[in-house]
Amino acid sequence: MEKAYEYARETYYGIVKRAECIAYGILEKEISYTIALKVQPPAQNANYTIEKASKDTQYSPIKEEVDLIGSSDEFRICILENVPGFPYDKCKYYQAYGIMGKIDIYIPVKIEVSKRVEGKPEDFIPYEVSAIIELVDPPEKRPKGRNGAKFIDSIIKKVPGGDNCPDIFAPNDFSDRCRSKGGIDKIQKIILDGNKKEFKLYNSNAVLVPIKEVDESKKGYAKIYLHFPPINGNNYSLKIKLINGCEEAVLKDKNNPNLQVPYVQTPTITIWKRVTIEMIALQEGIKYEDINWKLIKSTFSPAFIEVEEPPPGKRYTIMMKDWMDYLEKVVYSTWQTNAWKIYKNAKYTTIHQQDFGSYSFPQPHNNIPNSQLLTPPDNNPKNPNETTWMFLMNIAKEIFKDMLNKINKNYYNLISYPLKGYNIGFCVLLCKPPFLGSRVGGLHFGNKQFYFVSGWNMEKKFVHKLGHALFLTHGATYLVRESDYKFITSREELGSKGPYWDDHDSEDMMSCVMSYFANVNWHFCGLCQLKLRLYDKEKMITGKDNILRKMLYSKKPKVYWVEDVLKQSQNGKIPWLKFHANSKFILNKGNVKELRLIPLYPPEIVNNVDYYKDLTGFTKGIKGSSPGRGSWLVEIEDHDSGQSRMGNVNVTKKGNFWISTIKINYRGKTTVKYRIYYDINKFVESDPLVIETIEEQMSKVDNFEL
Amino acid sequence: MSFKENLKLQIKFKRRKFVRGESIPVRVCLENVGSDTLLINELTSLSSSLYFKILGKSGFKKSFTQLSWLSREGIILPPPETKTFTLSPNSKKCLDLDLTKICGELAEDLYKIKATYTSHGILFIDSEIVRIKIIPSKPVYISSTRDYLRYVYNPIYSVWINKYDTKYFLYLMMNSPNFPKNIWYNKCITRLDKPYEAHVALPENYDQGKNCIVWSEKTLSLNVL
Repeated sequence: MEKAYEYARETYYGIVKRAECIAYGILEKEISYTIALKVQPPAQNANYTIEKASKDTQYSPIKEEVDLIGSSDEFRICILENVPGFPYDKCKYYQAYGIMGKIDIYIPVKIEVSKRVEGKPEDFIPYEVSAIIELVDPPEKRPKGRNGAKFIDSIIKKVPGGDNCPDIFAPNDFSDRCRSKGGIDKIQKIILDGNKKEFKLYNSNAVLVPIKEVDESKKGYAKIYLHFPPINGNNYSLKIKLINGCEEAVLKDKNNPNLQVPYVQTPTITIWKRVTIEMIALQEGIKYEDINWKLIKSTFSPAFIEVEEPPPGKRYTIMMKDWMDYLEKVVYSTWQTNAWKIYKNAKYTTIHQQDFGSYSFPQPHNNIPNSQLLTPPDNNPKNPNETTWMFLMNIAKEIFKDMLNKINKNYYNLISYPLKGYNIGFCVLLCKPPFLGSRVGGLHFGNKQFYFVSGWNMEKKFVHKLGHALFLTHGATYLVRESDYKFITSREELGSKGPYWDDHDSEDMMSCVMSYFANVNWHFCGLCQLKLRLYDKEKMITGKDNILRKMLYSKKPKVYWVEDVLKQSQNGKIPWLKFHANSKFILNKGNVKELRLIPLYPPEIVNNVDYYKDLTGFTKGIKGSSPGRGSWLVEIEDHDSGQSRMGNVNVTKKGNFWISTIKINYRGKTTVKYRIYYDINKFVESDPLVIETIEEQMSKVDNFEL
Repeated sequence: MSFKENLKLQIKFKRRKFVRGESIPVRVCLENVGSDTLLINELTSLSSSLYFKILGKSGFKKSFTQLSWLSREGIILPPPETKTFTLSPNSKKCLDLDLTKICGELAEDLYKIKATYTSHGILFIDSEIVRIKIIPSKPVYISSTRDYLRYVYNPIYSVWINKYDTKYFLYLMMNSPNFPKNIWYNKCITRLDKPYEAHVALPENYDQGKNCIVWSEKTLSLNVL
């Protein structure tokens, strides 16, 4: 080690006031270092890219070796993640199918140290210095507005420290690398040596990396791996300084050798995921440019997901003739065959152009016999396979199969396999509506395939479908409008089941694109974004600190008893739900009063969609989702028996809805409250609803509200 | 006045005893017994406004909507459309349904069945409870179509003969092509004096509206049904 230092002894003279002083000193020949942190573009078959973006430019993959030190660009690591799995829990699915290992990447990086003595390059001697690498968690830029950022910001701040995913929210596979309360990410698990082993800790947030190799140009170097947790949105910067033994070595700015710096630092490196659209098939007449890709991409980018458009060679236009061939093969080979034979006659070419110019199926024409049979219904009670929805699904499958198998035989079959088909992106068909007034908007039919129809709001349909494919569940799907208070309620109905209460930000569910009513400022709510980022929602909701549970549904609900009444509308009387607060009833002995109760959660205050939420379904939890957190509390002062006791509210599923009812067969006072639990002892509770029942002879009052 | 008081829901079964797997036809009628014209959610065979709650003596307890059979088909259902219709005073809307198709095959047992009509997520009208019995079947013969070129989305047709006491009954059964366990139709066609080798001759499809069953009673005569 001593060889690294060269000394010169010199004597300096000077006069201080009248006394002559002689000072002796040792002047070291200045030895300084510069540091480079070099990354190579990953190999062709790697499932990630390293990309950089200058100010006001898009990210683009690096094509040659890049030195991260001193770069003014922003960097990102974009990991391919073509994994669909609705309706399963994302993290559990990833663990079960080995996806966690697939996305968990090691990025090889070379720390290069150049030595200079008196400004001239000198050979580096192994172990001459060691690098101290510190991990920085730069603050995430979060745009303002209703976009989910506020929720993310709030929940992240509940775990003090940086703003990367904390260990209590991270999937178990990566939590040992993530920050705990008050700290930042665990550097010893993130910066690894050339054998993917840990370095010694220098302090709690820095590792000591000995520079023990020397390259041909006599520069010192060490090979390390960056092993960031693959959680979207996590961002990092590395701060590096050098030490010689216990002293800090002189570090110079690479671009300005006269400038001594205490440390060098990389720009921010952010983790992103890439979801690719493998191919898109467009029915003739629909232009690729009709799709607002910018809008689609910008909806996913707050979750740090890059939606990659299909390459130009995989944007297929299905010409009318080919579309008719698919119809013949998939639909009319066994359904309405005779009518189709007449319809497809070349003499009706003009009509074909007219029909397929606007629709995906033939339309009725007076001059073509039986043509009215050729437009399938949206619903068919006789055979559910013979509907617009299913026919379009089968056409889409056939097109995808043809196009994918062109690339590679059996390529299509691979899309069902999470790992084998990992590199294959999503397959999309964009076609025209089946007929005027059809309800078909689009369908995600398992793994990586979906179709949607052109027209109004098609980007929203695309984002909603892709959201499902990427494990997201429904927000609000059913709205009760005919009511004193308009509210959304749980609906347990097959394809439109929702809301999954604890899967969405309770203050931003209505404009979450996974709700059916998201027509204003639609975007993914904060919790959807966190799921897309690979935060483990189940851990967040069941974790010991109850952070997510406290954030969702933290406002006070209000309990009402309701009755259905007749209300006049233009075409007749409609059922109307009337809400009542505290009330008093006459109830004679032997009679029973049954009341339906609704716990209403305050609205989110969004323009045009200020709806309450009926939390009845929150009591039981929607099937397939987390268990419910709502609970009823009933206290009874029974004047008949003179005793006080606890009562209960009966929560049952009626058809597709959850209903709460209470039966009263005594005279006295019933106090009903609704609680939303954070844990066993902590809850937010509604104000009490008080129902009094009295004997008729005691008072002549009829039902009235207090 | 409560909306409920204006509506009455009835379920009617022609029989109360069914062979296991047999279709259980039920007529559901919603009647406006009030004096106002009502605008309520549609009641059709594909609406989700009607559901059945079934309780078995042996502990079976389940509720089925009219669309439950579609979920057993593995079909991803699109968002339901909520349509309304008007029901004038003293008029009724009736619907003929098959409980076996909706609920799937019910095991031998005694069952209590109740229907509920819902509208707007607000209104819930219950029918009276009706009891039915499912008895064991004794199939002595079955034949399914063996058309290997059959279009995969068309149902599978079978005929089978059930022995009940000393009598023989011929059934036509239609099973789902998606999940053949799901019965879409299974009705008694006729009574036979003895078991015959019957076959589904021509499966029903959209170009051929009727299917037929053939069997030979004697060497030279052919019966067509």
